[in-house]
Amino acid sequence: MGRYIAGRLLSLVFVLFAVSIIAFLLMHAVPGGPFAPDEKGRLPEATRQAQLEKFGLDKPLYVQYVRYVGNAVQGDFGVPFQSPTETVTELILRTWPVTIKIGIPTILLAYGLGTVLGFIAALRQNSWLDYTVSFGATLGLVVPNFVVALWLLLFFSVYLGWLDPGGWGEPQHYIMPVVAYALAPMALVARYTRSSILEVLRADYVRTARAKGLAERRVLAWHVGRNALIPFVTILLPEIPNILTGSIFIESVFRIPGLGRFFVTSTQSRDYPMILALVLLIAVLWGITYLITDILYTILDPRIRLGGRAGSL
Amino acid sequence: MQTASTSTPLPRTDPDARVRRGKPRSAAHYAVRRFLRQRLALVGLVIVGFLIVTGFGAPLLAPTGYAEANLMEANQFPTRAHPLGTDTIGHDFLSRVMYGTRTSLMVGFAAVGVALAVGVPLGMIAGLRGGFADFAVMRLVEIMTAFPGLLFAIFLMTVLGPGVGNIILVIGITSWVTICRLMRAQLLTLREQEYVTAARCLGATDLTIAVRHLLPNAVAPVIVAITLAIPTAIFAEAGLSFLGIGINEPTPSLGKMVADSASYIRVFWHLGLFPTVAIALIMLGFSFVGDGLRDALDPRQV
Repeated sequence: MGRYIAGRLLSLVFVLFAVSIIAFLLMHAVPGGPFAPDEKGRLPEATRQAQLEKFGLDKPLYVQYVRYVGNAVQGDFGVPFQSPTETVTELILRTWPVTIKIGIPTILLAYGLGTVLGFIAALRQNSWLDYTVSFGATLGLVVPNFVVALWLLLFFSVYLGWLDPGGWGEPQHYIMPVVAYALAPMALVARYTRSSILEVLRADYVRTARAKGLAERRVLAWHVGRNALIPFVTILLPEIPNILTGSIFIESVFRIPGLGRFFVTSTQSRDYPMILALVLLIAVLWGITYLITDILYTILDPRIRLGGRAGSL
Repeated sequence: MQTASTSTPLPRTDPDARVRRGKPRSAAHYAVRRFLRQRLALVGLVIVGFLIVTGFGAPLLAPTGYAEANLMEANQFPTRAHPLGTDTIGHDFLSRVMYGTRTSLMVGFAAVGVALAVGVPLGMIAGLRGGFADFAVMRLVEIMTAFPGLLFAIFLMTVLGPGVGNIILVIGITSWVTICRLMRAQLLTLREQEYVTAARCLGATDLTIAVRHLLPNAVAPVIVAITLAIPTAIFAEAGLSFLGIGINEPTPSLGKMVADSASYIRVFWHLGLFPTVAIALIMLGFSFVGDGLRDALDPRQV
């Protein structure tokens, strides 16, 4: 197992190299640049050259890349062009925690409530409860989160006047963003939980467990619950990195100073160091999530083995 | 049910019982019957019909053109003259929402058209030819999947600049992968069917087999994928316009209208409510129809 994890981490390093090279080439291949002359010609040519030199953008691409990697392995990801008073690391450390603070309650709400709703819907299949959950899940999956966010805003802030329409810092500022953001993943979780439990309920081993006289609660907890978790892990865990990197839409509606908006502003202003840092951040998150998913797999389902050789676990 | 009492009564659980008594019908006929039996799909169909009439009929039905503004009448709440009120520069908001719906539908249909134009031929080549063609297409598909869709779209939009044509192109080239994959997977399974072997034994050429036997059978899931791709594309347009990198004035876009309403939402609630309701209706309508089609065309994968 240890060897397997080490191997996977090593391959993650290669993936990061590949991703950074592709992102690097792609962003330089695109016309325009952080100091490209605009139509009004406001930036004098000499100043432009000086800026390019200052950030090392006048060098050939491979020199720039090697220099970037050299600095990056030492923890220096450069200075964001859009906020030159701090480093990329400082900017991410300042804004990402805000996004994570929204993301963690979102994950808890979506996965906790979603599982419960899906479980109930499956156990009471074809009851009004099942129909309500299924219909609600369709709504949650289909209606965009910024639409839900705006409806919450209109109802709770404008109509009822209970909550601040936006802002950051007080506990009440979490409520609407988390609900609006959690709705779609919750719907997904409820749907998958429902269908996988329905499938497991019909399995032979569940009939066997019931036939040998196990208490219904034990059948549900041990035989149904555990096996129904397998699709849960494969399909739903990969949603987590998405949630942790934040939603541009939610952060923009509720004016939350998180990481989300930098995905747009960085591409717009050709902020090369920031783009690279964000791409790498996402790649690392995905890599780790897939690794955890595969490990959880073997724990939940002993039939699956990692790393090829039998007994290597 | 009472008139048929002379024949052996079929079990009531058989959903196609009544249909089967008559003369044999085509598969499409049964699919239509199955579709019409689903309440939610019918609701979806009504919604989509309503949106198409009000959206594409906007030039005839809307009270004013989409760019006509009367500053004297700005910032009005819904009244009899302006059923949905007016916006901050005096557009009649009902007209704006109708034209915005038209933009959404146009982008949705056209972007899926682009996705089809790219995805179907690539999927067919991969599925029919196999070998190197398959390898090349599938690697391309993998690269596209590895890139986060929204980020890629934002990236392309900042390069190309805002505009209806550009957004159609960008959404199209970020969403062909699903259709391509589906087409390939369909052809791979169909290729091994006995009727294909039979056709080959009768001397049919590869082209005849592909056009006469494989494509008609592969169409059903692709139709489902198309109906479900439309709301996704419309969502992408609304999202990109919401971020300010999609469609620019004077073309009305529901997503842009939602974003613009945010600053005034405490007072002018109608500016936020109506475009969001329109977006939600579009998404729900097409999704219901798509789900209904999937159940009707492919009863196996419910």
